[in-house]
Amino acid sequence: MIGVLTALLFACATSATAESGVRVTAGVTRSSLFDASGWSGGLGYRFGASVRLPLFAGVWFEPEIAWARRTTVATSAVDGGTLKSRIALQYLEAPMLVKRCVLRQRRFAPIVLGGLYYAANLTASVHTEVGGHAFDENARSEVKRHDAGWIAGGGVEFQKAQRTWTVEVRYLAGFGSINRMVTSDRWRTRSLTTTVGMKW
Amino acid sequence: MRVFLRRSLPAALLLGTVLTLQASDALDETQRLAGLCKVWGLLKYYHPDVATGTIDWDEALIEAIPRVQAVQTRDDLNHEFMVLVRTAGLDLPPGPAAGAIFPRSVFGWLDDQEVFDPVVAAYLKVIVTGNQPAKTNRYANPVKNVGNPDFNADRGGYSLPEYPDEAHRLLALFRYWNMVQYFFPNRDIMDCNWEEELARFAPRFADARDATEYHLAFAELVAKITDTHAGVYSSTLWNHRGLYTVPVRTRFIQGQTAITQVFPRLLGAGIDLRVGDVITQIDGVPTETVRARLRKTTSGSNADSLEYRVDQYLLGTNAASLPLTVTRDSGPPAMVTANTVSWSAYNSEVSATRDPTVYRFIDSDVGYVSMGVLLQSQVASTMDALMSTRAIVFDDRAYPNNTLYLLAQYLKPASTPFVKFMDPDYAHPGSVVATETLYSGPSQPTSAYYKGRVVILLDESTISHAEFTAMCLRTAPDATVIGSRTSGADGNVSSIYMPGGLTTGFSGIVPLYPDGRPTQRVGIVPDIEVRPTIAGVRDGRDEVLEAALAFINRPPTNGGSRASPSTSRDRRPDSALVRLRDKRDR
Repeated sequence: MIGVLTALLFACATSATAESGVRVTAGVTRSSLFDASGWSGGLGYRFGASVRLPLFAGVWFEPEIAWARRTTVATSAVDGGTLKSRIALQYLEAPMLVKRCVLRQRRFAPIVLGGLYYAANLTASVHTEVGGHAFDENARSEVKRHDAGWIAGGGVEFQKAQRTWTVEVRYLAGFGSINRMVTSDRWRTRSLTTTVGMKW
Repeated sequence: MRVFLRRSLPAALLLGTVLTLQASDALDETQRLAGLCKVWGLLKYYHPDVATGTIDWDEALIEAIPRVQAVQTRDDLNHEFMVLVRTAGLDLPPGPAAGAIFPRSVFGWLDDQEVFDPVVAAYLKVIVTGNQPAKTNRYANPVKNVGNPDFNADRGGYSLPEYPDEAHRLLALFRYWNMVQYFFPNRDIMDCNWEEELARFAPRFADARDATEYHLAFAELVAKITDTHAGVYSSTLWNHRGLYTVPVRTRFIQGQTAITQVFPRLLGAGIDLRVGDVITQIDGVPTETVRARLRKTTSGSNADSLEYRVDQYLLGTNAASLPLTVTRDSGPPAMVTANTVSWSAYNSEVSATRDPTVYRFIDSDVGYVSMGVLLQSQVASTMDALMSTRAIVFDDRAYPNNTLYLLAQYLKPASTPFVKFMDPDYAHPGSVVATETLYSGPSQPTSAYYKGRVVILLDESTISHAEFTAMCLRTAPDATVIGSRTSGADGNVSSIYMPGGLTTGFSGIVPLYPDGRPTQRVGIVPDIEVRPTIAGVRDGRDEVLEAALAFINRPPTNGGSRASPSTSRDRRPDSALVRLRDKRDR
């Protein structure tokens, strides 16, 4: 499905208008995955590519394909030091965004964006360490293969070095729990991402 | 060839090293299941999200068992432990809670690095120390006003068929093991190593081939806690033990099985069994062999009470008759084929033939009170009648009817402590905590109390509330306990339910003497030890009572004279106080 989606995006790109183009992005994410005390957002990263498909003046549809790593961390004091635990999830993410450039004539043109995403889980791992010992787990069996949700955010677009650059901040929230186990906990994707993108 | 060796030898050495590493990392299924049992139990009683009951914790175990059975290495096993932790809930406390304790005697297993990765062990320790366990737990709560654990909500699988699947059989083992580990207040005085028993019984439960093997394995496990309160019941076990019995009562006396009571109406004419006969074989099997087999699946706090319990099942059978070999007066063995009756008929006859006399006089100035018959409503009239005697014998070799506090109003000059309790510590499962001390006797000191000698008779049939009663009565000023060691199983019983229709229980609180001396397993130790003999039984004598009368007729050692007999009408008990105290040890 991801492959089909990717092919579709680039096919669209070839038939786009003058404003159309391919954009690559890179960014950092701060994610919080659980409704559980003691856990806080951990830093992750995200690399992606998108195509801009204009709909009408200042508004365009931008499907994207990205690889995202989300983490969440917890620490606790225990005899002999601090226990640290980090859960890391890697996804192939496919946001379907509509973006609007609010003031197109300005040098730094503000953008608002919103849409939906689908994500396929690639890996899930848990790293726990205390007192110089570490324990690593593959936790993929505990995480659902698929996730979906909504995205909202904003940013700016500007020209530099004959390229169009964007800086965006997005908030992403999953619709449902990504936890496959019989736990009462609700694991839900919540991620704040800052990305820098370059279009050509 | 040389080239081949040069190329293949390092590979072979490497492979050998890898295989060696894998072998040293491999854990057998028993180790894996025992580890799962311990982690599951820790989370059950220490993880706040499990305590609320929002997760089906039995189901979490049922799902985990096949995964744990499938893994091979320690890392994979510890991953499964962490999956269970995350199933319980991800909340991670920032550090030890205020007042947190870490009872090492309960969690020593976490240091077993052959099974537990140190990181996983540290994570579990955070859960133990970081959370203040809820005072109310879905699976174990203190019974109101008493303190023994109430396990009534923890009965998942009870209605399953008598031979449940492997996972549910292991659930039974794990549930019981953890109940004992965290809430059996006498865990530290068991004879066995409870952790070793888990490893010993895991394959027995997993591999049980039918309902009987499973139920017997459970009964054998329960026998390990050495608590006479811990009977095990199920229809499978009743069938195994026999739905019928010979209508006689037996008792282990002088190392032999003697008949102490015959129920002629049930036994029928022509069956020559008599009081004092010694049963040497049951259905052709030496009686000692039968007893040894029953001891394995019967729980007794001490040797005397264990034999007492064994006697209750000894002549059980599913046959209409049972061949017995008996000896009489050291004569030659004789074969007697006794008819059998149902347990309900047997128990009805036991009740029907019980002497209903509440009290009587012996030698006109010695009173005798049958504690198994005396009711609360009869205490006043009984004591009024006996106040002028020089001694009263309280026969506590039966189950009393909660008359201790009322009797203490007559027997004691003031309220004094007679028992104190240790209860499971629900804030720190696995520990016990001192709770309350109980008093008996008139709240206002009085000189109008019974001044004669108080003699309490007991033996191994004196169990639980009867022991509690003896503790109370022996705080009378001139009290002497005569007989033999009691059952050693006091404290309110917590009922336990297991998959496949099994029920059991254990003593859920610990009564101690006010000075801290224990009673569990030790029993009430008499001041004067007297045990019946087979010859005495044969002659119809009550040798314990005879010893009591001999003691009473001895002159008092302090040479003091008794005050004049007192009347009781001015010392009615405080009924509200009695009601409150009645909740304990009933």
